[in-house]
Amino acid sequence: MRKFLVALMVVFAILSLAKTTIVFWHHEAPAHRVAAFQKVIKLFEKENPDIKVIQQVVPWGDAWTKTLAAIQSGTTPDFQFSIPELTITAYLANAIVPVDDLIKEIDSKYKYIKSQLAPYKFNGHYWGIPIWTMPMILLYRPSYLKKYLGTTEPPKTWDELLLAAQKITLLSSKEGETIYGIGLTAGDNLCTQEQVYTIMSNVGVKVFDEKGNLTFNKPETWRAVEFYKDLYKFSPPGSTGWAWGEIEMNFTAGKIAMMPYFGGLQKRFYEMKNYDLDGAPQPYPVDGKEANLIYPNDVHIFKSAVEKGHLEAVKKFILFMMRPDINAILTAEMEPGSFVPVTEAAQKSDQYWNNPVIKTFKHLNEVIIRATNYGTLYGFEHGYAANLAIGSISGANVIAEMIQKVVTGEMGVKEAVKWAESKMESFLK
Amino acid sequence: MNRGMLLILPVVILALLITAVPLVNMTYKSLQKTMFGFGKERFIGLENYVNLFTKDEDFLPSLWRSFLWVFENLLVQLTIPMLIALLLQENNLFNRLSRTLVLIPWILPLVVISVVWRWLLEPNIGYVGYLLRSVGLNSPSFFGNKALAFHTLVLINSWHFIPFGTILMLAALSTVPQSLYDAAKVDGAGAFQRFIYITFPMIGRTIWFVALLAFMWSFNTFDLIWLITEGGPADSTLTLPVYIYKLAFKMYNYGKASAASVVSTLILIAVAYAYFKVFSPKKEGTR
Repeated sequence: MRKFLVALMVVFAILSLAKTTIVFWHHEAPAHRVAAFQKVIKLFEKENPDIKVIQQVVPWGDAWTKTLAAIQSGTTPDFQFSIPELTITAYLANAIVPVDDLIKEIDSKYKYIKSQLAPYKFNGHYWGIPIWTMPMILLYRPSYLKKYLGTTEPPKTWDELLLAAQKITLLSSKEGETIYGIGLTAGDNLCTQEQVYTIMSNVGVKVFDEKGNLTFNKPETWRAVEFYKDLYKFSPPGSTGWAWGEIEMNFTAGKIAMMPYFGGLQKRFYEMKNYDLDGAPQPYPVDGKEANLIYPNDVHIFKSAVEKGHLEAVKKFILFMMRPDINAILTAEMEPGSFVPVTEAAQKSDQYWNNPVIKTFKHLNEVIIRATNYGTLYGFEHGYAANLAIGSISGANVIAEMIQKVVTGEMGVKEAVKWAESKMESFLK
Repeated sequence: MNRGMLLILPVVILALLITAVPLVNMTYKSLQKTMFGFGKERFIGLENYVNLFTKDEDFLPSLWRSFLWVFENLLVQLTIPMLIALLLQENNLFNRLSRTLVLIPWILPLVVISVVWRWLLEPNIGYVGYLLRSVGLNSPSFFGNKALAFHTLVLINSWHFIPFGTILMLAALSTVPQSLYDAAKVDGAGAFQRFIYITFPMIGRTIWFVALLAFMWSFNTFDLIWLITEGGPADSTLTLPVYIYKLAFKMYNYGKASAASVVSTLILIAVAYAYFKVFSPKKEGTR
């Protein structure tokens, strides 16, 4: 018996030594997101018994400091979920490896939506692998449009949007109700930045030119900021202090009729059994273009994975995550409407469309999927990162601060845009 | 070295470790051009300090805002606790119950306070807005209005501090001998005169102490402001601690953030020193 136990321990030790353990960080702290990651890990480990995967949660608020601290102390995980700004930070800190081969492989197997790759290409290489994306579209409450505009057709142009927002605000007020035509924020935060940029993208605002020189202080930017300012008049009071929580609560509570936003709110509507929700492409001026903000989320691989000999295991896991049936767990199952597939195969997969939330709001999700093709992100308008200072510019919320100055009356439109460009300039130095 | 010195040595070492080492490190970083995580640091002398005072468009306004923040907080945090303490001074059942209830804001964590007030004061779906609308008033945008956000935050911060000040004042009031009041009454002193000539001088030391604490804590307030407004709208609540945080953890400019922290520390030390020298009740008493 004793010999048997010793033999068993030896076998166990050999087996555990043979197993490769890879560690990744992500920043999705809510319990259901952690559970979705664990589900993917479990399925992967079942298919790959020689690899053990460990997820570690680092909340978004700590993501930058912990990443930089880990790089400095040499304690990075093998790979990490990220967004363009964080990937640029890790790249500038000389801590990650190029992933061109993986991009090529995934593209040939599942066909990447090209717009999603742009934020991860700099200096001729890809440094992040998009896993899912977050497109901003025009969310609206069809019943409000019907009641106050006499149609369920959402506005298509800037003029129509402004008029619709004005009509809903004024007519509802006449009836003694407090419904605002549009939901816009002007807080000093990312939420504002993203809403503003969605408007900017409609008139082709570019932060940098192709060579990375600042090109923000231009007539198209003035035009977009002016429009945001006009539209903002029909947004709820107090939204200069708003972030994600407030705008979502106000929209859900029925105080807002339309807003440029991510589609993730559908999950809350589904849970409340409220089906008064739909989406449309972001309206644009007649001489503008269909465009919206996208936020592709990627994974980047740290050099430490190569040093530890974990690179192959990491690549295997990433390829596994991109399999359409698995990708549906990380998108439709984890955050339906908010996290959206970035490959054509995953966007068409049954696993994605059979999700009960996605199925319930089918039209809204079709709009969201369509928006992934027209998406762009500030600083990456040329299909690559024209200037890596965009990470710091975004982190400092320069665009949000600029809008605050305009809507609070502290500065005029042109003055604020000029101020923003000079602030951006300081990051370039 | 005598035995007494040996006994306090561990405490001295510990105190040095947790105060002197970070201070020295902060001062050293303030003389460097450093972007955390990006390459090597470079010595640049006083350049960070010069930049703060000459080129940085946010530093001086945030410093000024910090002083304003302290002034407003002190005003509320000294007067209200004093008034509440005077009201609750008498020992009866109602006052005993009130003394317990008044403590509630003090025991709540600042994170909870921030979230609760942020939602209570949300103009469209918050409860305060609902109450105002129900009496026919419009709800102002407490945190979205440049003119209101700062003062609203002062009130919330003070709401949290008031119980602490009240308890200290109540404790001080209980030490004033009743015989003094009785004697003053016999001499014909009214309530106001009794307060000015007996109560105030007798609890002066406590007021002095509460003011010092309120100053230090207010000047360093970060969590409440960051959680509610992040320094906005349009920088109207951007005080020095919030700006230092932004410099360090949003822009990664640790050198400049360290320089701003050194300035902040020097200000606190200078004010504390002046406060002890000029306003110390001990000095008053020895005159």
